Amino acid sequence: MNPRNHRNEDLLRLLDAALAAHEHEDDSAFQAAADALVQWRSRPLQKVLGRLAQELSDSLATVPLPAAHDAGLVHDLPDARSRLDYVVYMTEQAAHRTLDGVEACRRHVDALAARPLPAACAPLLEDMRRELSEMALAQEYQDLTGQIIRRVIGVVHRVESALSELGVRASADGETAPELAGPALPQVDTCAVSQHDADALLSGLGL
Amino acid sequence: MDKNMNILIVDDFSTMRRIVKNLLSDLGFTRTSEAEDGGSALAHLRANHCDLVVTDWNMPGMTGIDLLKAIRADAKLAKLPVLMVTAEAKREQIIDAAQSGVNGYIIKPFTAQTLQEKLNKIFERIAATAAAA
Repeated sequence: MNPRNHRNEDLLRLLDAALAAHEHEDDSAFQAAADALVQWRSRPLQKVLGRLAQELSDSLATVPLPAAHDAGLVHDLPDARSRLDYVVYMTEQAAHRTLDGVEACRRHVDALAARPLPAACAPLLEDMRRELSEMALAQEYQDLTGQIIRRVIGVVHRVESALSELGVRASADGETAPELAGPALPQVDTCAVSQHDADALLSGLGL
Repeated sequence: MDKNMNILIVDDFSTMRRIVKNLLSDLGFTRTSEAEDGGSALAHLRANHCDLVVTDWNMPGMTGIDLLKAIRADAKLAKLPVLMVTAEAKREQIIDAAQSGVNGYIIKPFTAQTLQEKLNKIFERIAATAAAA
């Protein structure tokens, strides 16, 4: 018997069982026969899906994902996130330094205003107060740019997760050293040196 | 407007908290406290008397809009005025905030004048409601 006839026999047997259950008004037997029919119908589909999954998995294994390896991309992503984090941190520090200065100046203005000064000084002090407020308010760029950068950090993180789900991981030798890394990041650029280190190095070289 | 009122400033960016604090102090409001997200703001509000909340929207943990909803859902805090100061400027977001009972909405970047205007408006409206009652 060829497989096709075999399958048809199976189907006939299941249909018979369903009909018999129906005639005997045996609900549970009818339900069981119906379930068996659904299973009979979906088995070829399962086989096809299984084969597709296997093929996809095999193809992924041979896809030239190393494009990511070569470029050190997978390694660069966490690195990029750290750098962006550091930008937020640096701008935050800078904004606080400016605000420190603004607040100190405002105290000086208040101290001056409390002294007996020529009348012409009063409008000048008012102007200074206004300008100082403007300087303080201008620091809100730090919050606004910080929020944008954090969003980008989120995107980078999602790309990283997607790549790792595809099985692309940072290889141990994936360390890349860009020629010009820009400002050094603590913890990230472990090879970076301080001014003190640089001075020591230079004096060691006779400079 | 009572310059001695207690104001809670809620923002995850310390720079923005400081800027708002500075602006409020320019306007004569010196009794301010700070919180860095909705959760700690809510804890502060439940433990301390407060007359006004100035909050950001986008914060990790509990966001500003969730803080607003939590305030409105809390019998003891429900009437507390909330001024939102945020970079979120989508129409639906502003509608959401309004429907959740926000008293004022300032879009960053903003000016000292805008802050003053919104504060005046909030307290004028509260006084008018109190007079009508």
